[in-house]
Amino acid sequence: MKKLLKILIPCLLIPVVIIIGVITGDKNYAAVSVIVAVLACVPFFLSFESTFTGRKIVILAVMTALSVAGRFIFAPIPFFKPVTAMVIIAAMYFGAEFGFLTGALSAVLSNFYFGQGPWTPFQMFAWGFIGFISGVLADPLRRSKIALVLYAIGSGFVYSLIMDTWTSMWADGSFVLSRFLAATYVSLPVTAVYIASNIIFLLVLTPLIGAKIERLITKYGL
Amino acid sequence: MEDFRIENLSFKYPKSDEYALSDIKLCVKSGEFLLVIGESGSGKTTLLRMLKNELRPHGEMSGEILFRGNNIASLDERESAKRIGFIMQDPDSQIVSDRVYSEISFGLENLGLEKEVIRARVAEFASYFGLNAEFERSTVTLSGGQKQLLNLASVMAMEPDVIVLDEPTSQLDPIAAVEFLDALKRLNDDFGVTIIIAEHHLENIYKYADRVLCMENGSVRLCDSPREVVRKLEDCKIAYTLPVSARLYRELNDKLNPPLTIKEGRELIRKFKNDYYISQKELKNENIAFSCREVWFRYEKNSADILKGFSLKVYRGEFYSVVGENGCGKSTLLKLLNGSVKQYRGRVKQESAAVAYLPQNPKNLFVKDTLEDDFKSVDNSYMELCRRFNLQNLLNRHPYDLSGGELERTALCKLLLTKPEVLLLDEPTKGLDAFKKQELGKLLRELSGEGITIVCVTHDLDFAAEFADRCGLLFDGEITSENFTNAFFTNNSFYTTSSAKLSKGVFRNAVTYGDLLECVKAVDRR
Amino acid sequence: MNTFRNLHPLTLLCYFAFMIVFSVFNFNPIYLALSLFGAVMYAAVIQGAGVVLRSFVGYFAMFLLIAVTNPLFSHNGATALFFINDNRVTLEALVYGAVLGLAIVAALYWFRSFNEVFDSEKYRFIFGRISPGLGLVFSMILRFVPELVRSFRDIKSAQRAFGSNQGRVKRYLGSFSAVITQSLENGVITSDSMNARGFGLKHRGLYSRFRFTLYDGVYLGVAAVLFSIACIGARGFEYYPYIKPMEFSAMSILSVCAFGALSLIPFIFEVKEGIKWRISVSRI
Repeated sequence: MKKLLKILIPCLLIPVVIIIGVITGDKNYAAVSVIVAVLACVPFFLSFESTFTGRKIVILAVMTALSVAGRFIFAPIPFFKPVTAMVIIAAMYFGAEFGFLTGALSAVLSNFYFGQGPWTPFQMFAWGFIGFISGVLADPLRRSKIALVLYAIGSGFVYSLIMDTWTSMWADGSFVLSRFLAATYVSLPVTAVYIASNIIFLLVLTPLIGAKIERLITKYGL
Repeated sequence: MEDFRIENLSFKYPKSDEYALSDIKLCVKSGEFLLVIGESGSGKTTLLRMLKNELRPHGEMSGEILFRGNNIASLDERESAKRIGFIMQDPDSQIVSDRVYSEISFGLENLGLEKEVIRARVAEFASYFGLNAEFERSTVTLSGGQKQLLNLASVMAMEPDVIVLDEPTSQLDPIAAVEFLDALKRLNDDFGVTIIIAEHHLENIYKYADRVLCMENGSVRLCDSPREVVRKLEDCKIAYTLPVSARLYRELNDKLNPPLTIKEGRELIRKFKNDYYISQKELKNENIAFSCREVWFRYEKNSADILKGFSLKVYRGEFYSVVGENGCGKSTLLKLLNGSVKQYRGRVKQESAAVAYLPQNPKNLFVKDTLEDDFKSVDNSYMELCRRFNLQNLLNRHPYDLSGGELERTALCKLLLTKPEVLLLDEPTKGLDAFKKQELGKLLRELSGEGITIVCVTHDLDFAAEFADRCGLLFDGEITSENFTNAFFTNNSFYTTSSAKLSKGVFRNAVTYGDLLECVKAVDRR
Repeated sequence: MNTFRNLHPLTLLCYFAFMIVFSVFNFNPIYLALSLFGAVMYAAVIQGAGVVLRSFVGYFAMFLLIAVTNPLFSHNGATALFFINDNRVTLEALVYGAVLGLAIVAALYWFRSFNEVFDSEKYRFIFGRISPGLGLVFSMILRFVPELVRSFRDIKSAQRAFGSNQGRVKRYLGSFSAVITQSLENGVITSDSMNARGFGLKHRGLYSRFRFTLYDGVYLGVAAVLFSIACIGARGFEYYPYIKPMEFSAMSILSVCAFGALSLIPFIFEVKEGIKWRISVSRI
């Protein structure tokens, strides 16, 4: 059943929802995108039981808790948050699926404290997506600092873009390019802080967490 | 019936030349209460972990461990999880779940029990351990003692045959520790659960044991009933950790049955109808290091007052101990003196700005990956202090790989690099064994001799009695009694050391075991 | 007291999903007004009228922002009110913006109640339904977060003695990295403690204190029927090029009534139980 769903969702359900959205008129982009964002997360949640065993589940909980706690800890510095960086690091060391879940769970959990809203599915998707890609690109990211910095910039943009898409779609119910561009323009300073915080956190935390994880591996044979 | 039979067990950690355990022979009967004692590093933890498949350390092992007649390694995973429970030191990190009831149900869920069975067991064991009122609470809000009871409850809910405990009370305050041990004894009596427990602090647990296993350098030195151990144990380091009454008995070479409790010890001491007393060492010191006058403090506008008209004067070079129950405001007091928080009324007058603060968890002082990096970030001239604290060999180590005693010394060393004049210590003896405590105490005395003022907040009355110049009892936000150490503990009847309880009415001012011995010997000489 | 929030998590989740989805999919101001009314009334009961009244300011500002900015980005509509920089500002776009604003505010009020009603236990249950391990992770994270925040504060205050001359970002980063180390180290103990209690055995069960009662069944059934009626009979407004209100027929009126009843359910439930409670208390 779960296996079937895992195949059905990306291959059938998501396209169907999008087609329905397109056919029924241009008003429902927002709703369609919410459903697609939620559906995109489902396969990862469904395969949870088979991929997460033993100590890995604790590390997932710790990494996610760190990124959520980071939002509280760095509260005095606006928009300077370690969430994206933690998600990327988690993915770099534990793989794409791990990254996706760290991202998606960070979104749900931090909104548990700060309030769920229509933005939740988009945040889940945005952070999950960034985590997934970081897992795929783990090798170059671990090898080169330049790649890491470029990726930090890229992921800051991607996160902002996804969230701006959300803002503009919710404000219009459909996608209006001028609205989207305006939203992007207004949020440019915030995007800049995102990117700066991504770079700083990644440069500082990656070697640190990397060393820690390696230490744990030798000390406890993870 | 036998629960465990251990035959010629030896064990070596990878990359280590020494045997952590060598040639252990042991047999544990069902329903037995076995107490394992020994210095830190004597192999207690390793031995206990060998008894649990899921926690057995990696390394070279020879010999055999039989659980109810079968090799333990061949025990089915489900059986192993269910029948042997294990409890570790750290009350916090063992907890998995965010709510009390879901923590108790955790193991039962793993066993895949029916929902109705789980529901019944969770309710039953929550009430057995007095956690009813806490049932829905978030686990982070529990006190250390409640957390450890919760850990015990969640292991017991799986209805194990054996519970193995590795220093479960070392992080608890004395009252919570007694509560925990009483609960354990009750389990042993009510259900006949076999208990195998390692402990450092023996005063309260020793009398409960059916047998005591003394370990030294990875091998069994002696394993016998508690009274026989008192009688037979040769003079060695472990002997110093025995309860005060037992130690006194050994000193006196009495023919009586060895005493284990204060009550029995009083029999021993009553025959000294003598008024020998320890003279109070009084310091004459006029230079005030800092003073508090009528200080009031609360954390938030609408919260309750923590300090209520608190006043205190501490002199330069003095070692002052603040004792008191949990939640009486001891840690808050240190934060106030450290400058992390501010009073809303009253005055705190610091003569010196150089204040160093040793937190309850000394790990919090370290942020780098090696000690050397950490020291360097404070001051480059660290080598001299390192030599003095005997830390040269540890410089490349990660702070988290240090043992409790090493960590405490390292933390002090790092603080001293800031050249403090006042040293604030929060529970510095937490988790240390008797020998490490002595080392720490001596070090602190040395520092105070050099003119550093020390304020130490502690539950550890024996430590305060032995090393402090003056003590104050913090109760309900103010110092309710304060005196030079010997007089302080002599005047208290409940909040005092075992030695003081033992010698009450016989020897005045004898508050440490050393004092007691001095009195006894002086009387003998006359 | 058997209040709305004490219903089974699945029942609650379905209800909130009904309301939020309907508010998002349907740009019919009549439905949206009903939805907003129901959401506000329920929020007022559970959070107190004062709190909800005070929240109006922020939501109203958001409503205005969306209503006013829509004509700036959308120039559809036949009735031009005036021109800004040669761009038409139309009545239709303004009205459409207002409807959008209404939809968002209604959805946000439902989320407000959702955040209040959905406590960690309910999350754990829902996630646990997807996969028991996921429910466990949720619960573990909730345990870790407050502890990490506290240990950050402790470390930060312990670090006061050294290098207070560093910048804030640097100090925060240093302490945060120590939190990371400690949490990963402690994670090993947690994982030992889990393994010792048989984590990873096959056929893990899931315990929750929730029971799907008859009450839940009836409630969910009624809500589903109302929702279906509301969906089937729903008729939309058209905004461009001219505003064209929905057609009124027996079916569409029935749909509106059904939706009105649906959105008031939590409020009615709460008030009814409140009265029952008072009566039974007065008997003591």
